[in-house]
Amino acid sequence: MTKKIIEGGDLFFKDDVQIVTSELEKKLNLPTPPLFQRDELQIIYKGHAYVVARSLKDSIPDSQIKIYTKNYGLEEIKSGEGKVQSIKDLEESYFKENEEVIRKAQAATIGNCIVGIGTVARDPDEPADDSDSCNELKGLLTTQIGSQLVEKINQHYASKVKNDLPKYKGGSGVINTAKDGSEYNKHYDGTVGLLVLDRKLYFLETMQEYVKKFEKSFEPKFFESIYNMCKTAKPEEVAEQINKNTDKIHPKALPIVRNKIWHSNRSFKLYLDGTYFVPECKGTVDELEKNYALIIERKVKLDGVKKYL
Amino acid sequence: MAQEQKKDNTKKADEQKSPKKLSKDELASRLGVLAKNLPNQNELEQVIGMNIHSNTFFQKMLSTDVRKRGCKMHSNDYYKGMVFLDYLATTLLDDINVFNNLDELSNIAQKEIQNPYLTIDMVVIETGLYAKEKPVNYFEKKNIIEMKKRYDKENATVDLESAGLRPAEPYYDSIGLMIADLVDPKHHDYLANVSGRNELKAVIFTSSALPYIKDEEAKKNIYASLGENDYFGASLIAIDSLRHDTSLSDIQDQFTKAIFPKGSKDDGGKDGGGGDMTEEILGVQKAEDIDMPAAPTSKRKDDSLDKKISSNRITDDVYNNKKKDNTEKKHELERVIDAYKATKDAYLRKKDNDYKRNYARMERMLGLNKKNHR
Repeated sequence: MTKKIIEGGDLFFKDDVQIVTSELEKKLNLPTPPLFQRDELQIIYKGHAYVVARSLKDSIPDSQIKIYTKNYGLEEIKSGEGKVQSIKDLEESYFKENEEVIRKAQAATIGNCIVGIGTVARDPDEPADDSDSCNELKGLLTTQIGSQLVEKINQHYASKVKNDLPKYKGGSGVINTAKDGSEYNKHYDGTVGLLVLDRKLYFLETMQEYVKKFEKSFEPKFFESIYNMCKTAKPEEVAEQINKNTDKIHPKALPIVRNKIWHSNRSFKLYLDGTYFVPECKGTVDELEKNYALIIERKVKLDGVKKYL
Repeated sequence: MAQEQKKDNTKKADEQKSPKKLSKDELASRLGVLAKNLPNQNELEQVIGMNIHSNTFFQKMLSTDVRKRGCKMHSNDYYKGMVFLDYLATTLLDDINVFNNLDELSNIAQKEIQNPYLTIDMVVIETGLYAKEKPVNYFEKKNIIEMKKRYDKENATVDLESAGLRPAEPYYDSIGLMIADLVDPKHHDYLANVSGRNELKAVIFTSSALPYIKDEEAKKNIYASLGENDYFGASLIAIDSLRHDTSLSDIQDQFTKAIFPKGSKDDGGKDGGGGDMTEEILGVQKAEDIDMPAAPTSKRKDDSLDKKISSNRITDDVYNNKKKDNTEKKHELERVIDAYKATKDAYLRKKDNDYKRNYARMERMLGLNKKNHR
């Protein structure tokens, strides 16, 4: 018996197996993925998810976030039982909580995208039916169909999933990059630090990166000294140095550059991984969340292929 | 039984009247939850030069028009001043033109004392003068209804006992603290029952105005209204009293204060003051904040004098020089005030002429002119 796998078109032989690509590309109706859903200020840095610590004893060493006049530390996200949650843990909880929805979505996708012979896709929870042609195909085609589906899924999402966030430049290496195998970290490994607040997304720029944007407003030698200073000095020290040399910076740029670094004891300050950061607003978190949802969707479909074929 | 019930009700009513006693942290947390649960009043994200929490604060507390308009204000007073002006312009007056007067005042201050950044005191006094220029009867029923409509429209109350609230978090505790800091600590208790945006603004407005209200009866009424959680009523009495209790000489006093701050010898202070004065004048200039343009980088002409003063070696010679310097500044100040009055008079004259011209035109259009009648 010769069987072949074909794609598209209305005409195919009884014994052929058709892969309906459009079904494979359909959006799954999954709940929003976990990472950006927390209703509090959140920092995602080197693959770790942090929130503002309510007490200093919980905070990670050498971290500081100053909001208005109050100083806090940062702590990794914890579960209800107080256990530190990696991004992998968050994703696993998400998959577990939505197990039923995910199972249905996988069955529908794999079931609908393969047409031609009965049900090629089998429900692993159901006992095998000997009379079903499915069994006939087992061993002959499933491996082949499975690898083709995997390839097609990867191809489809390769063009849809973006990876356009800037890469880290700061950080003295106190914090190790998390290699937890989570979908987020596999995709965004080495990405710039993020701050998420009230559905807004901020990139964490180091003071050096921030000052660099205003290079042309400085007298060159003074810029060099400030730029170097920004690597290790405190924001208040940098601002003091700028204040002492107001004639070496364009008057219009002066408050813009300085005030975001430090203007008074009411200033914002973020110290993490041996570096001071300046958050820069980049719009809402929606785009990033959509992208993350696509990554999760891809994972669900690929898992579906493994599960049903 | 009925008597007990009555007693209970009276007790409850009394509890409602008397403001809650909360610690500053508790108050900040409560106000933080309120702020977090309020929808943004504007969605402007000032990317350049502004702190993340300042952005949140302004999004929650200012209307789009007022935020876009802005005003040159001393950095320490900026948050308070903007909320004060927002409440005045959008709720009480429905008129943003008060900012034009403040720009005018700021220009005069820039020209004469090289510091365009107004203090909250100057803003409050100028508001009183503006209200005087704009003859509105704040207690006329029609006006109260209009103001109350505007007040209720933007109030956006939050039920702080509701189960579905967005929870407290440290970030918003800080925002709550920012709000609490806008109100004189003596008035913090009045914030404890606040549950809406305009209620907050009304307390901030009233608390800022209170130091300038001289009429004791009015003050008593304001406190009584605040005690009964009638924040709107308190703010009405405040704006009406400001109109009566502020004068141009108050502005003059503020200019004097900016040039001769407390503590200087001329002010009868004990500290000897030269150093303070330098610090105050330069301090104001270097404290520009948020979205305000750069301050001029003027320096004292006599650097050696600065050094002498800062090292506390104030000789008679230095003192006499300083006195001479201050006398010159006093003369300068008088010129500032004259210029300000002249500008103000010219403005009022122009307004008057415009009004007469428009009135005559209107009469002609309506055929009410005597000549046309005949």
